[in-house]
Amino acid sequence: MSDETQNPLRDAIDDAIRSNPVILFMKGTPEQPMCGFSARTAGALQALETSFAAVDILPDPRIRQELSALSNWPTIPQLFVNGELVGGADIVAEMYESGELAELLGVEQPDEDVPPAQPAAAQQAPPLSIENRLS
Amino acid sequence: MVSVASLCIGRAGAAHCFIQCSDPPTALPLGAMATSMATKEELKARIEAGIPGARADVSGDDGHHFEAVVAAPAFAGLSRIAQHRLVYDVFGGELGDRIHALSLQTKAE
Repeated sequence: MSDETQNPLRDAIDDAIRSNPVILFMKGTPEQPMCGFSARTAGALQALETSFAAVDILPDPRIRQELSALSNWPTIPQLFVNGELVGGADIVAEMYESGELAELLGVEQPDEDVPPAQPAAAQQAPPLSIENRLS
Repeated sequence: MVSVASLCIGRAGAAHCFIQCSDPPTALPLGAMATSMATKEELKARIEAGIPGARADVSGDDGHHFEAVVAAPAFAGLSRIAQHRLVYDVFGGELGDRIHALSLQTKAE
């Protein structure tokens, strides 16, 4: 609150959102989600075989704090596409079901019968590394 | 002094246990608020009072995790994000805290 003007962590998050076309802020990782909501959301992206950046918000509570301040969205996960907040777990699930998510991402909607989130389909996004040296 | 936080893709978490899904960014000075458990009836009443013309179907009996289907004329023309924000705004800082998780489906009517 005291350093509105100097907030390297918020800038780093903002930069990550801007520089990754598809970025998911979640609890845990796509391979090892730490929350059912995060698992479902990462699973939808994996089912669409789209590559995405994922940021684990758990290592530092301030990531969550700054992210929510930036996005004006209270809960995790949060999916951003082309710099815009798409939504959390519910919205992403709805959009996955309706095919809107595939459309937004410009990918094919998988067959209905194929269960989402086959681990083998998980795309390894290029490493996103935001170093926050706050001391 | 704060530790270095790095936002990394694919960094494996350490544990398998499912931990809080929507813990609040900061501890809120909740006082009495935290003492009473939320109920689906309370959530329904507050959503319907907070959003003009809204009808809410709320389920969830554990006092922490709820699912709500909310229909309201106020949602017309709004994106899903904006619709959900209207509902979130009813609860402010309680969401993720006293109300641990609220699964939402919104419909314009």
